[in-house]
Amino acid sequence: MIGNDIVDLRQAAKDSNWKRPRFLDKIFTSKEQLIISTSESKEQTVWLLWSMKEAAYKAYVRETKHRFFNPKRMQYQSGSNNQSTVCIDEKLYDVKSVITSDYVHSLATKAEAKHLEVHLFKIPVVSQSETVKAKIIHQLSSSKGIDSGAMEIKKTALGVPNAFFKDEQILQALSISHHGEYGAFVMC
Amino acid sequence: MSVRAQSKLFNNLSTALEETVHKTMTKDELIAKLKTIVQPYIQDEQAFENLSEDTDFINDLKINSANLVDVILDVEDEFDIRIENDDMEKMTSVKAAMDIINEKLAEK
Repeated sequence: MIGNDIVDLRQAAKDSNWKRPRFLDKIFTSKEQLIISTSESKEQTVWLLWSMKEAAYKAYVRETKHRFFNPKRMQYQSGSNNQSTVCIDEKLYDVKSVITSDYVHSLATKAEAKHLEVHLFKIPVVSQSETVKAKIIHQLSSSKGIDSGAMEIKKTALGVPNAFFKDEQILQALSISHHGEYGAFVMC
Repeated sequence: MSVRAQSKLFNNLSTALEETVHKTMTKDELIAKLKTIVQPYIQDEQAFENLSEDTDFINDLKINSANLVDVILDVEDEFDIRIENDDMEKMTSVKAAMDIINEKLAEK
């Protein structure tokens, strides 16, 4: 089970006002809010925790086939050196994060996820979704030798994506994320 | 009961009824208000033009999940209600949002 999430920090500053009254209360547990309020860069910490929770949520949806909208149900438990544990109900996810001054990226996995490939890149701001899909197809075509013209990236009704060759699923799991100038995908 | 008391009771009842009618909105009014609220956050114009009860905020309108929090906060401000996380959890479509808003308006 995998999930990944990228936040373009400049885009986030444009899209969201995290200082808006009640915004943090809707998203973060009291423990998470304490981490934010005592951190050096509150803004970066807001989006770091957000991306960790989103990545874990994506892995959870893949696993349970159940969608919900309640960011407080994804809970940061513990962590150090950008390796954290996020729990959703009783399920635990290992989350690895990368933080730069431009973006935050988190990758959530369960212990059994092996042979992971992570790709992170800059994309033009227009047709982001198509650009990322084209990158995935290009990547698969060169690594697996599959004809790129016959490949397709499709999502299930739950929004979980996979790559298909003649309607046959190619990957064990695929997670896609894009935001602002950044795109990322993880596959196994 | 005297005629006067009866008429007073009747007046009270009709005032109460009128208030209830005002508190809950018609489906069309509610959809129109929701449309105005979600507009700044949508990333799919076509889905927005065709917005109906069945429209999904994330899958159809492509609203990013951080902005869905803004939608919830805007709904709270617009209707002067508070939506707990348990209710918010279900608010992934226009239909679900309408149900919850009406529920909260009726409680007022």
